[in-house]
Amino acid sequence: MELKELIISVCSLTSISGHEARDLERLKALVGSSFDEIKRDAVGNLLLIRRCGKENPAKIMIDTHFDEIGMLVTGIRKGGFLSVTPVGGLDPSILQASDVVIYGKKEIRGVIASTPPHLQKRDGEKKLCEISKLFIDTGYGEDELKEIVSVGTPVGFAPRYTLLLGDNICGKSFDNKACAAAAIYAVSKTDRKELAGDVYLLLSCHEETLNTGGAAVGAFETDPDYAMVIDVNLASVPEVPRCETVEYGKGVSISISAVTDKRLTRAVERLCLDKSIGFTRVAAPSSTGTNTPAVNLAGRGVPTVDIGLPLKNMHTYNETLNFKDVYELSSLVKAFVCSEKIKEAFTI
Amino acid sequence: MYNTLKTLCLVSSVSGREEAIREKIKEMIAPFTDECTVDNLGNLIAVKHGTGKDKKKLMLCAHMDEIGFIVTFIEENGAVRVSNVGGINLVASSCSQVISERGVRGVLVPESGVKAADFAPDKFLVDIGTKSKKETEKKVRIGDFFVVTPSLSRLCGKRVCGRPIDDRIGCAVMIKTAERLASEKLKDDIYYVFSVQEEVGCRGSKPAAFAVAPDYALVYDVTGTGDTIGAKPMECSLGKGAAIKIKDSSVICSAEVVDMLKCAAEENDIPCQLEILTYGGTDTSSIQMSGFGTRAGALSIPARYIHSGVETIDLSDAEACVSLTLAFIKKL
Repeated sequence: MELKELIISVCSLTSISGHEARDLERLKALVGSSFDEIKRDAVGNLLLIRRCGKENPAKIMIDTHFDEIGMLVTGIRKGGFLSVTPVGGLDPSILQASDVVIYGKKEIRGVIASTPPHLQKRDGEKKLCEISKLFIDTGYGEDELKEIVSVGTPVGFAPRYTLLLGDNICGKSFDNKACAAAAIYAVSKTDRKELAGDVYLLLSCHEETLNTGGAAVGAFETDPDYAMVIDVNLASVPEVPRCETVEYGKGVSISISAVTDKRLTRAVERLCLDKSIGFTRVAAPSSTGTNTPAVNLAGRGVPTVDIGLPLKNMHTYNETLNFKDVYELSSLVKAFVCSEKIKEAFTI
Repeated sequence: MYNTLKTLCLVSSVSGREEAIREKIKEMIAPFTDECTVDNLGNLIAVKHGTGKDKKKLMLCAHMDEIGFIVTFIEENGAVRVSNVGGINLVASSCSQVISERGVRGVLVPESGVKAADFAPDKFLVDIGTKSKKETEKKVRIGDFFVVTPSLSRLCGKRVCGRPIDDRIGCAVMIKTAERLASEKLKDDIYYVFSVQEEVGCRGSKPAAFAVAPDYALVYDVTGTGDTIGAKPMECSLGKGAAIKIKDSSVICSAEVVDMLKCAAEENDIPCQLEILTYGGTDTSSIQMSGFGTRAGALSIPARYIHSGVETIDLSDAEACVSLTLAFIKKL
């Protein structure tokens, strides 16, 4: 399967935080047979291991969180409407009238109810509803709905992908499964003999929800010699200060931060230069907003580099990325897991 | 259940100073377990060993600390300045009787003229009835802990009110569970963890879970409800049974544990409800992500007016938590 196709297939899977394993079998089929071991732990992390076959191998960890934002049903209201609570950082301003899938005993479709402009109050600006005041219209009657849905049923955006000009694509959940797909692709296509060590690809859970990231557990279990955390990063768009975003279509971003390892970060920059992989630096003073701080502090501490994939319209059903950036990311992952130089510097 | 809860409520122990309640719980749980230890942080860990082959470890956990106040300064007129330990509801605590860890009684009052909207911890004083700083210093030291005076009373039917029902009711559920299991031959190891410092950020349970390294964990704590006038919509009510937690703002519970609890409740006709709390956190989060990670879930006791002096619950919900725990253990 080609990378583009793999991205769409992986991002179409359902993996709302806490329900990462819902499509586990489909994921396993997509991953194929190139990994030696696929392990699921107590909290829901998935660890894909590919061994290099050498004696006393280094342990290289790549973390890409695999959960996605979404909603959970909080109640079934009169007339077949569902109330919901957000899982992760949802923006209420994009929710009304969006298409959703309700993953109950069977999958059903719904639309988030919206007040037509004719009926909105005319005084001043349109006021946005809190998420807890929005309702999903399912078309089902209340009793019928109770058979399919209960409190806690996950709800996600409908998977629908549109190719745009210039090698761009928009759709749901590129955060962060586009990065996961790029890493799966890079590691599985690399000849075992080229690997500098055993590769532990951590598809971590619960990143989108507060305080509960699974990466800390995954890194503690793995106890790697060094690690790369990959997550999407905010791509520059008009009207947003440039200093808070990364360049789009110019390759990956590399975070410079107190919580990343300076030597490892420099080594990765040199790797990009050697292999002509596009990158831009981004300053993230005391936190990267990713799994990096958790991985960095796991167990005895892990030297960690933080890599970003530029993404527009983050946390919407039309997240937009440029395939060129994903190819660069995939090349970097391959170079990273094959780098003897980095292995030499970070193993004792 | 009422008597157990009352015994536990009347022993005050603010986060970080859990000795008194720990001794009381130890005395109550020891007859039903094989071994009781206290770890470096002060968590009480009691265990009843199972005898099965390939036995699993189940950790039950409730926090034994409570919210309170710490003395920060003594004014010239003898009034005591305090700061909050944990999430204090100042409106609810205003003009309450308080008692210090050394048994000194006082009243917690706002500075004169401060309106409720401007309430902040530094606008409050404890008047212990003294006339001068010197006199106060004989009774109160900087760093002493105060709590709103504990109490427990019966309301209509199985409803009771008082403080600190958060989370002595969780402790009571665990003690009652241990009592029911005491004479049973168990397949699996059951760890009863009474954790410290939950009210200041779910701290104590994390190292306890790291040490126990359980396969499964259940946490017992109070949760909010949607059944009072003016409450935010929430599908959780007093008297409708044990609340199986799906999510709060600190955790998404293990889907596997949620399903096991739902099945156990259904098979044994135990009243239960599903809980999504859109605020607040519990020890579930810290236990889930401790060490190698744990399949963690929670059984909540629905409560009204949490963190006030009149926290109100229905004891039938707590009894359902005991029954559901026993049924869950059989499913392990």
